[in-house]
Amino acid sequence: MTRIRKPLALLSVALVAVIVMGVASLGVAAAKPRIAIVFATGGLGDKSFNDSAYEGMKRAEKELGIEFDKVEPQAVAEYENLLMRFAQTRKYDLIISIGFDQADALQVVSERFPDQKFAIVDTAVDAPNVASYVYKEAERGFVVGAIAGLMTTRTGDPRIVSDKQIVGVIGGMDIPLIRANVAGYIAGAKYVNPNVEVKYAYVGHWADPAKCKEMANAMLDEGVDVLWLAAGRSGLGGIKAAEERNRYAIGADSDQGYLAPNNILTNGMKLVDNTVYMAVEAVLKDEFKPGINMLGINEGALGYSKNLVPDDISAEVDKLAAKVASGELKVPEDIDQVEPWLKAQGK
Amino acid sequence: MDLERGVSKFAYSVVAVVLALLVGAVLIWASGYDVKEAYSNLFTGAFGGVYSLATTIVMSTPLLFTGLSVAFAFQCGLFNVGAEGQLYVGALTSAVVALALGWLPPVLRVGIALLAGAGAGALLGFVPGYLKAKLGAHEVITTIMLNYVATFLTTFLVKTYFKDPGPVDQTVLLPMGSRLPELIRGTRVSLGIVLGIVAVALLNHVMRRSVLGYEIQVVGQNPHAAEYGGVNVSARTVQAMMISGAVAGLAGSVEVMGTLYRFIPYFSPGYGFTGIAVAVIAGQNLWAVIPAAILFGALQSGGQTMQLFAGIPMELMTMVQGLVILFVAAPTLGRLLFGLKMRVREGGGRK
Repeated sequence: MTRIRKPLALLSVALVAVIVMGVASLGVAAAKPRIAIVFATGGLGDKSFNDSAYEGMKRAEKELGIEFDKVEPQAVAEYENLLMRFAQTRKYDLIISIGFDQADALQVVSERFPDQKFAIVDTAVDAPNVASYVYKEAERGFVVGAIAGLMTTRTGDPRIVSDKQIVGVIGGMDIPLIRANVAGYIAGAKYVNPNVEVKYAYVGHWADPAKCKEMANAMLDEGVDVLWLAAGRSGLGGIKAAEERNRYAIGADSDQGYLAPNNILTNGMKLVDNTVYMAVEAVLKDEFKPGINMLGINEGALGYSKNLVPDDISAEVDKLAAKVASGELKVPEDIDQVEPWLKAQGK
Repeated sequence: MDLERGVSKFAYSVVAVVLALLVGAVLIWASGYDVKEAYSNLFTGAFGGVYSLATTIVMSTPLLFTGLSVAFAFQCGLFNVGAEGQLYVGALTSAVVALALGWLPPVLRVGIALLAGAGAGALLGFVPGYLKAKLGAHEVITTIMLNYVATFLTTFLVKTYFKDPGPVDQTVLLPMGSRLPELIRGTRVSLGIVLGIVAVALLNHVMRRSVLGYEIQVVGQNPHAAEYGGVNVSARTVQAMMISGAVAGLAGSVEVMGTLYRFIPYFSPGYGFTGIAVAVIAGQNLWAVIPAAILFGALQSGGQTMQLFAGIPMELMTMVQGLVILFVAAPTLGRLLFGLKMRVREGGGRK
């Protein structure tokens, strides 16, 4: 028995130390507005959605003088727990959920904390204390589709397959949100170029670059020379394929140009940073608006980046984008509607 | 004597945990984070308040089952690395059965769904058990490989046959009557933790009081001697793997029916693998699986708040967990090595 006395003494000293440390650190008050953000499961470093949201938070920190806490969940199952942990502290002016797969969890947590303000980006949650920010997905598909449709005719460019006019798009999953992007892309490409053929496919996973690369290579084999990757982290594989084969790739969500400076033609920008910033600003100005907030080109939440786009093409596309922003062009959101829509436009 | 040893082992484990946390503190400090803030968050996140305690219990529950699964296989000298895969088949089977039996009264529905989950796990445990018994294929290899089969198969089945309409690949929500009852309102603490403790008691009883348990132990200690003594080694190996698989399958069933209320592909953050750590810490004593599972549940739950409020990356927390395993399991390892040496020396003496 005497053998265990020493460890026990050691243990009690250590325990006391831990408890004292714990008590001492309680009761620290923060004066600045405090925001919490729960990222999507892709995590930071996705060079896309989460990174863009993080940029927006950092900008809000600098320009709006807020403080924020962030968390990167590993699995869908963690969302509810993490949102709950944030909400329970009752010290956040706003809790932001990034990504549509947090909808279930936010539904539960927002009901349990009716006085807490929440915002969710990229999907809608129907609750009186949740502001949902969703995008007119087809609009950005339309813009990059138009760029692709025009670019594929530039046969002088070594990255363009001269005898075919085929462009492609690979989506992350076969869901309405991504299908709207694809529909917009097809509409955009065919609107500016009736001779273009558009191929599309879905990876089925947001974080499977290897599979996406395989699919991209199959498309490039068929003569696709401009390929849009609307597939989250999976898209990195498709960009790599385009770089290796020296064709054009179009990035998604944030500017992915640095990944392949000679091959990223443009990016279908989802300006999540602006969105997150808007959500924070709304709360600070006491203009928090529960319900659905639709964001498109007009709101500065969608667009494209210049990268390698020739000046004459970007000038033409800017005109189209202005028409979309003003509501003159209503881009179809369903792939089946594209053909009738083109006919109605006289194309 | 037994009790005294248990107490001294427990005291040692607690000291080892504190030592691991001290080394962890150095790591956190060296990575440029505030140690005081980190550990106060770790503590309050695991034990501070009802929700934190509940989260600790919720996170301990699957580890209780997977830890028990691996620890039980240890008793037969088998290393079941396949708890993760068994968990997935158990989880999906329970979800599907619970959804399909909507017309049965809740008690029967939940009971049958649990049994189905255990059955699926046992079936997946049978394969490596049989391969080991008949062909001598090492169970570490076969169970690791079956993890991939199980994870991808369940994902495929959900996507193809049981998908909830909507953007996320998952089954529909289980109706109220197909869920395990909630023990603490407003949390996800379910009857699962009680079932886990009952499972520990049951298997402990089997080990100590039944012929099957005795023979499994004999096979674990020396299969050749067991064979010579008339024990059917093949049958015991298969049975031990099946029981181990059933318990791991229940981990998935309980997680789906008590916490998630639906099957989601890749839902497990590695419960099956953490279960190995739980079993290593528990050593030869099945009862010790309970505190070991709670320890890891607490580290997980506290690790969450460490990440949320102290900005510590989860990777650092995982390192601290690794240190805990290292420090707590060190004497077991030492004893194994030391014991081995003793045996060699004894053997030499007899010559």
